Amino acid sequence: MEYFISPIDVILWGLMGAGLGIALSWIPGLHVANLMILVLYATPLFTGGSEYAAPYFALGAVVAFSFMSSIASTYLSVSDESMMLMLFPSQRYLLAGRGHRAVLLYCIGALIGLLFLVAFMTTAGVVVMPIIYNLFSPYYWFALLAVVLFMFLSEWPKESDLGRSGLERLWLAWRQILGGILVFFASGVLGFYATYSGLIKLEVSFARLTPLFIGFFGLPWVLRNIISRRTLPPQDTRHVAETAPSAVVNGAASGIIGGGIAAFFPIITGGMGALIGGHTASSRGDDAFLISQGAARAVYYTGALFFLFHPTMRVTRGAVAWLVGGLYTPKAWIEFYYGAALIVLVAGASLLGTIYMSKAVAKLLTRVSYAKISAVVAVFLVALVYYLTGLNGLLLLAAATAVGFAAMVFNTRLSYCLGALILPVLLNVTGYTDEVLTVLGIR
Amino acid sequence: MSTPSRSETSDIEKYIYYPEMAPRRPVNMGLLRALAVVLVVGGLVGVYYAAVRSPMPVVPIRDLENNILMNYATVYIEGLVTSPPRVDVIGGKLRLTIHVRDNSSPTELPVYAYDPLASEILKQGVSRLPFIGDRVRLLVQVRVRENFTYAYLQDVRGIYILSRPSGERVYVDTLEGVAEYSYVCASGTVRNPRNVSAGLLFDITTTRGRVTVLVPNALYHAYSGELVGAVVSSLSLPGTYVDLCGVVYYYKRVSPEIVVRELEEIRFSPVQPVRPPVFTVIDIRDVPNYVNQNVSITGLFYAIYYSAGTYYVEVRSTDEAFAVNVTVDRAQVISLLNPAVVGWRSLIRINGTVTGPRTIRYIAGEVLERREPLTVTVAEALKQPVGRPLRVLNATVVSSSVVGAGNWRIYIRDASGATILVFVPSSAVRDLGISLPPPGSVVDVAGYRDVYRGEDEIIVISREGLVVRG
Repeated sequence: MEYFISPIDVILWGLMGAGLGIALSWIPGLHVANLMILVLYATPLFTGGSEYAAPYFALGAVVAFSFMSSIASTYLSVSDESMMLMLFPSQRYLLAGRGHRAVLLYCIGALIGLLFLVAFMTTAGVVVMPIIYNLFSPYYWFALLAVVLFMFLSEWPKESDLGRSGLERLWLAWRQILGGILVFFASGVLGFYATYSGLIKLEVSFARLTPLFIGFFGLPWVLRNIISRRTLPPQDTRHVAETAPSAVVNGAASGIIGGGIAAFFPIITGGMGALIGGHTASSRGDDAFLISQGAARAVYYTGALFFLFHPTMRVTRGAVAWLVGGLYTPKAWIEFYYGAALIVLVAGASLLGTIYMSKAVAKLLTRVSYAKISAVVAVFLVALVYYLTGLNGLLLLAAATAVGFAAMVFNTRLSYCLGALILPVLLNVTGYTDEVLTVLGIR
Repeated sequence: MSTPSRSETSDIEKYIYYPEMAPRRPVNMGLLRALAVVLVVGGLVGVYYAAVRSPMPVVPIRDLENNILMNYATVYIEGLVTSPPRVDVIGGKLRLTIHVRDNSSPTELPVYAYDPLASEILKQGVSRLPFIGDRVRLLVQVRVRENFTYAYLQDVRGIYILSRPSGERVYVDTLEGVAEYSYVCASGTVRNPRNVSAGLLFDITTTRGRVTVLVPNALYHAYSGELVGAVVSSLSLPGTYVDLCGVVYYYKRVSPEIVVRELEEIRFSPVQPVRPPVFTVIDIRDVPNYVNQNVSITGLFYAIYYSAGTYYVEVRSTDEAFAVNVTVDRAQVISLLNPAVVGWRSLIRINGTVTGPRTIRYIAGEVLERREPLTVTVAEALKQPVGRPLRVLNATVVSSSVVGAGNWRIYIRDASGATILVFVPSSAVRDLGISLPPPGSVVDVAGYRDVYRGEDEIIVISREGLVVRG
């Protein structure tokens, strides 16, 4: 079979995807999968043109998203003073006027993660990844169950010494865990309704979870920014990254392990993988954490899609890979190696784009009202959900936003919202979907 | 704005790392948590009420094919199961595979069920197992990979068997000309048993020919091992006499075989069976001389009539000068002489009992030389005599309505400019399993000509008689 792929096409499509990713990935809650859905839904460009367009466009967009999403997580998801206990390092950096440094540390991790991914996949990965896949594939669901249990078990009871009575201490100890359970199961129920009812119009079935994920991960942050009327301190935008070689190695190793787990196992996401990777590498310190986040997310997002390009592995992981695989699945080694080269190219471009975008956003946010920018983002997210999924999508969005808000005020992990994916899949593979659908009134 | 010196501690750093130095804005987190719980519960209740009012729709397969935005859509599909259920063991787990086709698309949708669902379906026996010839409604989740669309069954209660081929035990000696998905029986001795990936395949030598039979491997898992062992052992022994029933399946669309649906439908006989009735082979012109006797005639399939619950097939001598009417029931006429499959003037053999000088009661039959259905324009159809089996292709629906107890009246027009009524009785509507084609739809119609209350019409009697093209 002859392949008519040209490196010029690869670069052009990849850079177009990267351009879109760089332009829009700073918006909080706008996952790259939603971005791709929007592109495919709004334009017939990919369904009638070159078959190579979608995979390389998506790869460019995903790599750019891996870098550029650090802007949203650093600058646009800031806590107010009532939630000091749950500040992430990136937010601490931001409130200390060092948001740009957090982005730089993140980018260091992302760059190392992607270079490792490309080096590994094009050498040892060529041979070992199909073996690893065959080795683990019968046990995916056990791994998924183990990760869920690990998430809950690692939320050991906290604050139990603050109560005045035994009952109060019991409540304080278990409050956060109970909040996590509430969030997990409420998300799971919403996942069932989005998947097994006619709420979402059929022609956009692939976007059925878009209202949920924007509700879980995007809108609560944005709304809180608006309500808290936070103002940001002046930001130091010098290109300075404060870290040490040991922290870089530790953070990158932690992130690569976590991102690799998330990319390889279905349903497990970057945050869950990073949690496991952090424990595996025993990471300490804000700088190592930020580097590990960059590496984990880059390896997770890009790795999951890049597996689709591996001709002998034949594995589809993640929403973007499923979307692209629906149009065209790369089949030849030349397509795989072009993909690897594109990752390096777009990583370089995205690194530069993210650094300068970070600088621009840092300056913008100290001049323009943070609440106003958040309001614009909120309107955009709501409009996007309405455009894709209609009024019922807005209903799901509202319910999901309530769940995301609950995760915040209970100071619990936002990744419990992934119950929307995990619970339906777990019950399906264990054979209990029937009973749950009956209980939920949609049978 | 100026950047704070690195040697100093900025206000914000004091604020972050020494929060006790800055006045805190009092926020009642307990109240926020309570509010969050109320909002979560309220949101779930709201979604519940909206969801129970938004049932999962039945979607034509055409809408699912090659549409990546339908990836992961969970929908109902409704159609005909077109292949025997097949079970594969992959990594120690069962995978059940069936294929479903509706009239919206010429292609079949592969539908899979993996363990534990596959085992759960099979554990419930054949009652929940979608079988070839069944008209089913299935809750599935769709996957689209390039130009390959497939689906996964979602749960046992999402399987609805709407209708299943059945009827009287009509015995055949050969499957040539027997319509696919007919429910037929055969008896004879087992020959050439062989294990194939789909199950146990063997031939039955009947009194007049040979019939191929498949016991699908899905039945191995739907019955107890003891029963399966006994049946398979007996069928694997050449020379065993069996009497069985099942659904006709055309393997690769050309090779007909009976697919056994239930192991209870297989009966073994240790002794030579009673021989079936003997039919005297006569010329069709001699029928008046054989009243009350069993005869076997050959002739041309000429027309179909219907009166008071009985169908009459007109069979003519090859010179078309002499005709007899053969009384058949609906299942028999569809099984043997489906107007969408067997064309006017096909050469057929009829075995039956002569009940009058020109009437025969049908017992068995076969198509000896099949002709393609007579394809005409609407204008030409209007000129055809009553009873003539025919076919009209690519006609456009002008208007359509449901009358009486679910009968369809569809007016069609084609390039000839003429219009004719297509009448689909409710019995055929049930088999079609599609919704009423709206005006503007393009359809293929196969049936026989009739005139009712002075109006020319084509009567559709089989599920293949009305195909919606677009």
